[in-house]
Amino acid sequence: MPDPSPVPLGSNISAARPVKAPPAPPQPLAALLAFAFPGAGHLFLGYRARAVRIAAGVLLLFIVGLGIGGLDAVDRKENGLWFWFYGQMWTGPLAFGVDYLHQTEFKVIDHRGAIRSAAPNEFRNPVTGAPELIHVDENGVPWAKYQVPGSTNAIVVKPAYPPKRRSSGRASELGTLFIAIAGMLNLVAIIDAMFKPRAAPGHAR
Amino acid sequence: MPYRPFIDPLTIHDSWYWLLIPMALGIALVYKAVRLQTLEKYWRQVAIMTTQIVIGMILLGAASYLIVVAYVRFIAERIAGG
Repeated sequence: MPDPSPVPLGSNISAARPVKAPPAPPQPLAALLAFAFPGAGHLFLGYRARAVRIAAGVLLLFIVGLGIGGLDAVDRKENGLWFWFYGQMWTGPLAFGVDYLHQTEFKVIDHRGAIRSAAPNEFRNPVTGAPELIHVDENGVPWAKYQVPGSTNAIVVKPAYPPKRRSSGRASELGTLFIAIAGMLNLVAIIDAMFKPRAAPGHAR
Repeated sequence: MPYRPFIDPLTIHDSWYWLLIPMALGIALVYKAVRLQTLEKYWRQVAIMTTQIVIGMILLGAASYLIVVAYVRFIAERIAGG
């Protein structure tokens, strides 16, 4: 096979530049899989050990972050730090799923139709999502009652608590930060999967 | 109100700085998995990077403390002294 980059006449052969290997073609499917689940892009390309390590790191940060900050650590709409979600969203369906669950199951819908976090003395009506006031009985047990639309009977819940506790201070900062770091690291993994050649057979690292 | 894991936040106001260690470990786990040519010395590299991040953050914290306590006080006293 002829040399694709012949050395010009009169030039010093030892100074000739080495021929670079052509760059690997982009792998959009691997990038998409890496976005769908941390490490899945590298697994698709045949790098099983790397995939496991990427998944372990991203999930560690995500789970610890959620454990520290609670559901408030992922909030696309309300908590005043919504722009952090632009970093967190790179964990893919994990972040979007937690945010969806947060918005739909752990917030209340007030009389104006606005979705917001419940106050510490508000219970969430599990049918309509409306806030219901929490009362305290003579034994100090909190209780609330709610009505199902179309029914005249009120259902009493005892003990009754707000759907979640608001996170604040260090817990809020660190929970949000952990998940944002998880997202940004997964973005690095997505870009790496996009431009990484497939693993050679027998070298599935 | 009982604590509900992953729904309610933890009370970590007195011990939050210990969380630097799992944060550094998570960063090193992913970064080294992506960047290393081979994974033969992976765990060693992860340990080194985790330590580097933790020590680096401690040094940055110490430097910030010195700036605020020593340098800013020095400047303030000079301004106050006219």
